Amino acid sequence: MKKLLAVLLTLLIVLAGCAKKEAAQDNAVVFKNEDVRKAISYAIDREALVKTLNDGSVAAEGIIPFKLATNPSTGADFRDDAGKVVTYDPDKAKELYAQACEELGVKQITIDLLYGTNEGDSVIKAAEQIGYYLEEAGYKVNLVSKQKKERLSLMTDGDYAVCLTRWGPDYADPQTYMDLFVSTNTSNNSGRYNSEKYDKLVADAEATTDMDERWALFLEAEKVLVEEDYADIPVFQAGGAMIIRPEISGIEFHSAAVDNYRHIVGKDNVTLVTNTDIIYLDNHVATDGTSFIAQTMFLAGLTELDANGQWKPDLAETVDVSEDGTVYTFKIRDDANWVNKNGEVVAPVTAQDFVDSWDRILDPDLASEYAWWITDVLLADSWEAVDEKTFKVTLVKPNGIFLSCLAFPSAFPINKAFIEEQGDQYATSADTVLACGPYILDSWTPGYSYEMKFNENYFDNAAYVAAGGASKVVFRVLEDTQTALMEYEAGNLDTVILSGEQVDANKDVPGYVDRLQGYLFYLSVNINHYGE
Amino acid sequence: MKKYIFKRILISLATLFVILLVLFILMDLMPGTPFNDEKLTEAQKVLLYAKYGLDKPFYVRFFLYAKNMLKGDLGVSYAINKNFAVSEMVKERLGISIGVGAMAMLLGTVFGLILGILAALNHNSWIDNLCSAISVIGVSVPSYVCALLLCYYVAYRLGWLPILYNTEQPVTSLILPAIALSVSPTANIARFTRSEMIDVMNSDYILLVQSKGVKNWKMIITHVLRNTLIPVITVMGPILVNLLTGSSVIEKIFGIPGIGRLMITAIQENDYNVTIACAFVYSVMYIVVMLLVDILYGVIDPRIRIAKEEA
Amino acid sequence: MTNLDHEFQENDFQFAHSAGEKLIDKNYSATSYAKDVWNNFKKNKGALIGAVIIVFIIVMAIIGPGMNEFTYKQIHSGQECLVPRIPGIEKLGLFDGYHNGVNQYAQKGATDVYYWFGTDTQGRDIWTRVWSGTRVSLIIALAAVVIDIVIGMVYGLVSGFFGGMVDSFMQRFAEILNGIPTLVIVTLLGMVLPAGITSIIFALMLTGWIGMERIARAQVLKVKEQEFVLASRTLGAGKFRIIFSEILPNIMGQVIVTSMFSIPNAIFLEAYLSFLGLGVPAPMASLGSLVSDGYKSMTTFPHILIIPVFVMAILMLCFNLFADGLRDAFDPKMINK
Repeated sequence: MKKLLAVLLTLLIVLAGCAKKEAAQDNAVVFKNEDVRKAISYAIDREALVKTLNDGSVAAEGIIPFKLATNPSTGADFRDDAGKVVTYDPDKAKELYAQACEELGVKQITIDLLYGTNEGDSVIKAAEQIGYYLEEAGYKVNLVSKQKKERLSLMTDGDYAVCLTRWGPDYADPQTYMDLFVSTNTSNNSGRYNSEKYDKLVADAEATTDMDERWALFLEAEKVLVEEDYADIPVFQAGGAMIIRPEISGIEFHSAAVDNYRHIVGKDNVTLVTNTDIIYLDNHVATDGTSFIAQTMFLAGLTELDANGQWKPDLAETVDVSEDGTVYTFKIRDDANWVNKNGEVVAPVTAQDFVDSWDRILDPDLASEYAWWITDVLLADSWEAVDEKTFKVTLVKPNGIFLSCLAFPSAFPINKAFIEEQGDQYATSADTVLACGPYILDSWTPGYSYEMKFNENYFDNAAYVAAGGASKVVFRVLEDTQTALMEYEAGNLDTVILSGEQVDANKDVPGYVDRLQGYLFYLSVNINHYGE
Repeated sequence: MKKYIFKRILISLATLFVILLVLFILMDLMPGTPFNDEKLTEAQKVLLYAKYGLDKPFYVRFFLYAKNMLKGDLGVSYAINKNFAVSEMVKERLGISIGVGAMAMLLGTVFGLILGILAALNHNSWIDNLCSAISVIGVSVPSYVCALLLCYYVAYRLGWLPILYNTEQPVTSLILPAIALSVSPTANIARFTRSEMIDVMNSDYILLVQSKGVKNWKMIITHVLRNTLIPVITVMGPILVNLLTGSSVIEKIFGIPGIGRLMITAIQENDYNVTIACAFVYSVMYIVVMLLVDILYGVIDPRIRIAKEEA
Repeated sequence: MTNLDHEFQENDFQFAHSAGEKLIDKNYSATSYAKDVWNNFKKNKGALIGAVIIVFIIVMAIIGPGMNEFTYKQIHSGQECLVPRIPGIEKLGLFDGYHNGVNQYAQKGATDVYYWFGTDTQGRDIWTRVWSGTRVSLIIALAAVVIDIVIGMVYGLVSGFFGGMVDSFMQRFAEILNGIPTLVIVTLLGMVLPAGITSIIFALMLTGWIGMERIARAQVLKVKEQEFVLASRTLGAGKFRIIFSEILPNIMGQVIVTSMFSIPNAIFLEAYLSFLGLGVPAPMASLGSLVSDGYKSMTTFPHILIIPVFVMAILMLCFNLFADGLRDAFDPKMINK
């Protein structure tokens, strides 16, 4: 017995000893080398990668995703104007790798590729694929998997080499991406990319009032970032495959704004799938897509987006713009009202509600993550309630996306009296929120479902009813795509989200939809942040 | 015995206090923060820390938390359902998880014991081999695979039971998850019962009972089973705790808003209060079940009872 | 023992056998304990078969990945999710690359390629992945058993045998460790430790042995009051002699069986650990991670799941047959029968 134990113990020690240490590589030097980064970009076969993901994702052609922004004059997509600024060339990648090794005087370069394990299956697959392509080019790759929170904290601390990360656009303008990589943005520019040329292009673009010049400057800036400096390496743009029951229509997907579920028609009582639950009902504190979608249903803004992403008035009856484009005056509808869960009118929606809302989101004590929406996206300088139903906003400078960005929950009105009355309980359940949108939040069982019902007092309700709108919309929280698909086929659900594995078998099913999301996945290379 | 039980309860309370402290320390060491979102600035993070009192020194937070816990206040969630009272979140989900878990435990115990006893009584026959094979497959096929198989054949193909959990059929829609969850406990209990029973049947006192001419079935019930069950209870305790505190994969597959899923999400989202609450619910159950096992032990086994009375 | 007022009868001390019967002693040659064990083990057919298959799987885990031209991380773009196709057998209509009546290989333009176990969703050869995964999982299984026995059993033995304050203290310590959900502990380990097998073993060391500890302790409690222990103690045996040569052989059976059942737990814990960044780093596979990956395609391409589950189940079945044989062979009560 003792002998056996001794043998086993020795085995264990030997096993532990097998994990040998390698000579440390100085990442602070390695990733400053442009050829190292260039070879990474050339090595990745993005087309093959998205084919493997098979979930509707598309290969990235630059750091700005498809269908994000359109040319102010021609209406062309940014990507059409910019063209492809990334290249796949495995032979060139090998060549560049060899060159980089020579320049650095090393035999091999090791890349620790950081990625998140709880950010979706496509991230895990993509990381494994990228790892393989980089090894083909000659690199030694260690895949380092972490959970999202830890991954983000490693990035913030600069304690990483290369990380597969993503950015979701907040609004339909290249600026939402370009701002990430300027040297002054220490929150998001984790690799501390520092280029005077790039900084100047972005600063100039943001300062100019000439929209065409702005567009051209952004095109130039992307080239500098991706094609000249290879600072951040675009990989793919997320897709989303799903099946929507054929008789249902009216779900409007936006790749650079909140999806619009207000106009569902074809069935009276609809059950939809969501893979995440609402996090918070408070439109000033929420940060996630699911919460925002729910809020656009039971709340309303001055404008809303149509199926093409163009703004149209919602609670605003009329919009007046001053000649220089800096002063907007909104006349709020007389029939815009706040209603409680039972559908009873509590108060009218007034201009003061918007003033309260914009003041509240900027209140430092609230620490809202979207506080900058008012100042940096809407570019609002001051706002006031001229009278009960007239809301006036003065902008810092003319802003082409001002009206469409008003359709975002952060800019929606609040009822201050109600919030004060509810105190800490505000927005924690269906009973502690008010509605002013086309739907009312009827119930919310965290982790299970939430239900919306028609708001009879919403001004456009009659039109919704006439169009055959769904009077009840249930969102069911389901994370497992396989059982969800069974439930859909059994007829208990009206939409279902598909994983990449399920796409091939369901491509020809009626109602199959292949949507494009705004998320762009890219490799953040730690250029200057290492060991600071 | 009473004195022993009293002493044991006091010790358990002390153990729980230590566990709470350890949990708090572990939370402190967790990487990242609950607010570590891409879009939050450093200044805002500082503000949020201050708002939720996370900037206070460790011991202050710990004693405040312990004090509030005695009042039933488990704090609020930071990330999962912002500003929700954690006690509410846990209460609702724990009920469902306990329901499924109890059902699974019942199934697991009944089938496990039947399989184990059958195998032991027919030691080295084909029945024994079959029972062994079933239990070995039961532990080597993960519960989520069983769950999806059940979903597909029993619910989707045959339509006998609902595919997913729903509040309109709270009992029938929990049958499949309970069966899926019970597979591994069945296997474990069967296996353990079998080997324990074989041991007992080979022991000298059973030989004595047999030679005394006690009828076979009577011998099995009064002598063999009783001695078999004592160690079986030891394995059942932790299994029960694991079942009652929910399984995140099973909850995910069947869309059950249970506590297992909540805890995983809480750990991933660094939602400290929710993690501590879920983990502590587990700890309390564990300690209570261990306490009960210890006491039950004494009731079933006279030798231990006497030893403890003397102690 | 107190009932001594028994009166002896006259015929109490007479031979039971009739006077004419001859009593002949049989002579047994002395055999060592080890030989006894081996002889007993040999007799058990099931255990022998189990042992042979285990050896076969170990051999496959070593040579399997090298048997074809693929590597476990090689990605074949455009050849994802192919079903198994084996030369020779394909003519029988089995493993011929057909899925739902369509020859996938022809469809994806890979007519001259044979993936014996098919490919996964990323176009990697499952054969090499399964066998290299088995290699990892076997090491984890070994570690789990060793940890169970070295830490769990010894802890339980000591705690159960000494009882009193020692027991109380040791049990409270184990309760604290086990009272904290494993997930919380391993999540933190994920931050401190690098990915790899060493870290998995460390995680198992922290949490894997407690089940065994409880069982060993319960067994000791049951055995330690029995007569042979008393006899040994009366003969002046030391505490450690009693623990290791009297009690240990008697609880070995249960210990072996329990340790076998800790194997799948360890293998699946590893899959969860890889998710946390603590297990074997991707693209390296283990049986656990292959099963949890395969789950995602269970309803569409079940072969990705079935193959690792099958290997796992066979492995477990054989471990159990083997352990059963071992248990019977080690059992002193069975030896002299």
